[in-house]
Amino acid sequence: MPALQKALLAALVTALPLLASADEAFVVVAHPAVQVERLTRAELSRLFLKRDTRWPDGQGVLVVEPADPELRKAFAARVHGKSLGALRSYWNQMIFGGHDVPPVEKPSDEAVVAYVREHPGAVGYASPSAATGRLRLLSVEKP
Amino acid sequence: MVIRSLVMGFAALVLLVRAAPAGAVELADGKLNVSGFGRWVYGDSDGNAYHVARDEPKADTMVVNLNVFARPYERLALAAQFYWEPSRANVDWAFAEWRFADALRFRAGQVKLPFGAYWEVKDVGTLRPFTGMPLSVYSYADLAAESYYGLGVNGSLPPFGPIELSYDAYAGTMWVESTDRFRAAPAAPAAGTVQLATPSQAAQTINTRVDQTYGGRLTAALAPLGLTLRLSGYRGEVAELQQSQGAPAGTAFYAYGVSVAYLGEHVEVRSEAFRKSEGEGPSRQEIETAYVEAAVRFLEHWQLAGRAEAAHYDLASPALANLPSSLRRHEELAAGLNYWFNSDFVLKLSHHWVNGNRFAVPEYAWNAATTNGTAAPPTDPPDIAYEARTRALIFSAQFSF
Repeated sequence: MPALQKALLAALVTALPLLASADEAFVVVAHPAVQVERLTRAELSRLFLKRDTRWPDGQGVLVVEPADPELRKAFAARVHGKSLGALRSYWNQMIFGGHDVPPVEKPSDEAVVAYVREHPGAVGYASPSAATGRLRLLSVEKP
Repeated sequence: MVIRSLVMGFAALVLLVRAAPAGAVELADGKLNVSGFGRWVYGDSDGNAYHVARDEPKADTMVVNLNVFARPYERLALAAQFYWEPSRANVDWAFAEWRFADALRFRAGQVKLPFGAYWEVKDVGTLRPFTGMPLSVYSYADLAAESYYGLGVNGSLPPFGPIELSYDAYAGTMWVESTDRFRAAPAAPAAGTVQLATPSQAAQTINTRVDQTYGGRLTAALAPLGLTLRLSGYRGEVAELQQSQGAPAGTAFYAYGVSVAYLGEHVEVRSEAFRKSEGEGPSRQEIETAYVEAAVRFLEHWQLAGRAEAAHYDLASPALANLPSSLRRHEELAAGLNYWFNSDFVLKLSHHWVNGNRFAVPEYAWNAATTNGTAAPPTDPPDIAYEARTRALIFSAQFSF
């Protein structure tokens, strides 16, 4: 392979993840034992609204969110298609109706990653720059 | 007195502004969650007492609820809600839930009644555009109890395309509370009080125990936060008690209805219609009620709201044939302007035009309702005939955390 083609290929391989992450404001991470690699946005939304509480293999789902309002805003818009205010109203309805409570909230990306690592069945999201270690990165597809 | 009330109310409002909008208290990695909601209200009317509005403006009504939700194990949830106002405290509901699967959850205890669109959250002011829900459905109109004592199941089914289905079913006993002016005779008056003589004047709070109650609700949602259709109903039998009840023991007590709601980012529309029946023959009473409510958000924090409501009470008893028709009727138009600091704290101002005396009555009769048929003698002899039309202004601060 000519040197120029090799260089172009190398540049493309290097640039692809950057292009992908530039489009996403967050990454979705799960415990390594979770046997799922990709989800649609609708499926991810149902997990974080606690409408689905079990993975396909029967394991219970634990959802965790970062406290960062910008990250939450981006997640709410892209996954739920709603604003943070509308989401808060949904959770007020769930809480005061005695149905369920919002996902666990952690103060930083590091705390989200640590929670997911320590809890089998956990799934959360963090900023693209977060050190996700050996966690499972879930790809999110449009429904 | 009014100035003192306003000062107290303003102080409460300042406290609310300073306190809001904190999030719920979350402990033990989300296994224990403490939330709450409350309100402070001010109401003024042109004569009759209506909702929180009085002829002499009233500004000292403060109510706070505390909600505790615990999930000690993945499948087990424990929930309770406590109510507090200066004159009393109470447990709204308390129950345990075991989750077999998302499609099957089992509940036992004193459980919030799954009825209509908002029965479970009817006291939460941050979930609606007006200070109060429509009175003919969600107040002391005896359409249903706040909770049932018994067993229930609920669950959500896997989505069919964009449609999500969920259900509730339950069985047990419930206490239905009603405050009205046309049923049981008032209790014997205490010393220094007067007994209000005619059905059109007298009123008392009636608690009817409904046994062998079974009911359910089916919900279809087009999206988790969008358009929702609900069908709900229950049926039970009036229990045999020593105390006065609304209908004879052993007679049927049932209600059913349909609820439609669209909750968008800027527009909210709700509409519900119900029919309720209790008793048989001359003791039969029926209620038909419906409302439609719409609200639009603008300039980020502001919201305009409107509501139309109509309810009719059909009483079979010949003894009540001469009852003024206005006592069996409630018609209302309301307009509101709200300022939302965020989704957990809102100031609401609304004007209400009411026709009928089912919920709008002279204050001495309102007081009679809360003193079981007795009341302090009015300074001026009241006019026997009620004024059917009422205008009321209601201002409130409502919050949740």
